[in-house]
Amino acid sequence: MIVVRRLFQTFPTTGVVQGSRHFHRWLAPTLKTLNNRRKKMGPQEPSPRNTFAEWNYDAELYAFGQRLQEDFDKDALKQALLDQSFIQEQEHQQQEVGIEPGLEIQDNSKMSLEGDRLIQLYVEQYLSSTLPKLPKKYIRNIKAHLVNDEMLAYISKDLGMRDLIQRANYPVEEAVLARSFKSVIQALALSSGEDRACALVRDLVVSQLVGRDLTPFCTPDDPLEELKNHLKANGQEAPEPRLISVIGKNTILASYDVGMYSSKVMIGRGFGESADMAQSMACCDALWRAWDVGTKRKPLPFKLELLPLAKFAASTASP
Amino acid sequence: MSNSHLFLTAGFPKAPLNNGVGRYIGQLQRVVIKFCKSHGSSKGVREFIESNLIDFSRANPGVAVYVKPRRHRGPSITAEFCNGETGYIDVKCMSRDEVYKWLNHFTTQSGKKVMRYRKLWHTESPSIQGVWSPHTFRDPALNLAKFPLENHAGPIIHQPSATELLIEMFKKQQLERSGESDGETKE
Repeated sequence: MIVVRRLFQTFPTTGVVQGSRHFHRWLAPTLKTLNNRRKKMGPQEPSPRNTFAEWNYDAELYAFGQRLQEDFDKDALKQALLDQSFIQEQEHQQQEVGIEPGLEIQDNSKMSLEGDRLIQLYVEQYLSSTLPKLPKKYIRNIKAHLVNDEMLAYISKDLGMRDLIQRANYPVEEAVLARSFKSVIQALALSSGEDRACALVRDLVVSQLVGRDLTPFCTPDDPLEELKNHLKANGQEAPEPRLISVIGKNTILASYDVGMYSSKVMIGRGFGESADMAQSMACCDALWRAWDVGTKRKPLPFKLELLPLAKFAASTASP
Repeated sequence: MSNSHLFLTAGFPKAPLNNGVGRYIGQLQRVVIKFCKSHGSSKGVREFIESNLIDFSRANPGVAVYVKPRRHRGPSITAEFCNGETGYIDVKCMSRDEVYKWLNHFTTQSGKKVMRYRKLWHTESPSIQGVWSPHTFRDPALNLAKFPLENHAGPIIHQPSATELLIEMFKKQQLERSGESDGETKE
């Protein structure tokens, strides 16, 4: 025992056995100190991907185009992903240093306007070709659901455009994401033609309608009046509501079943907790059946090739 | 379901951005391969970079590949997906083929977090003929009926059908005949 003690005295544990296999007594205190320092600094802002060492913007842009299976013009794509705020920030930095502000590069604000026009026009063309019986008013509702900042930002985020957009602030705002997506569509139209750009809009934007119920977009304010007008316009007899059955009358679980008839043929059927409710539901059902947007409609064709956009634009502008 | 699955989020499978409805977009956007130029544990990765990396890059042009040598550190692969999630795998002491396999594995992923699937399929319209309601298969004659109805009060009493009556008569006849023949043999 004495021998052992003496051994320890002659070979103290600290510092002497460095590099050999041993308990790392310095590890825990180091980690603790680092952690304390981190706590003291407070929460850090997330660092954007383009500040990392492994980042090659040209390679990223090429890969982005290849992922979408498209050939982009490099300069057009670069401009499409350049936000206004980035140029402003750069000019501000130049001013601070004392350089006359003035950059040769252009941002995507003009491109995004043109891209927006293209997307709006194509989505309208697609919807009016696939839902020909639906009135324009309701087509506009569906279009508004598809083409808005929220939806376009969601799409561009899931395409991985967050890292590629050059902008001042991080994380990227919704409006910036949407603007960049519109500009990318316009960049594709410039590099490989409007048809390719339209196909991309169909595959990315219109395909968000898959498996979606269209009836909430096609519900009129006054269904009975709308149905009367619809039948009148088609030369059919005025609608006649008939009560098919009532269950649980005068209870809170009352259920009315009403059918809408025109020339003794049932054109719609609806349920509701009161007769009025059931009648308006039956009117809606009759209209949805007539417009081919009900729950039993055929799925939308997502591989559809449409006429060139210019022809559609001319046809909508002339009448 | 085991205990390790208790805190997994549950849900239904869904493709990101309805991928594949229009065109298929690969969800892996970039890969960072880290390795050491001299250490033995990076041997497989070095061999992979020498002989397979160009092929991988050609086959997947949508993936930006970064190669990062760092001295005396273990090799690893970090995959970044379009939705912003990352995948990491330690490829220490793995062979060339294993590295290739794991890299290809990442190209098939969507980057979504691991989820416990409640079902392996999903539909928004589970019933083709429509959901049942109290009005389904209801006799229209009940609309004009005045309650209480005589037939509808009390249990349903099953009346024998004509066929059942005939069968019963036939069995009765058979029994009588067999009784007669028994009597004859006894005498």
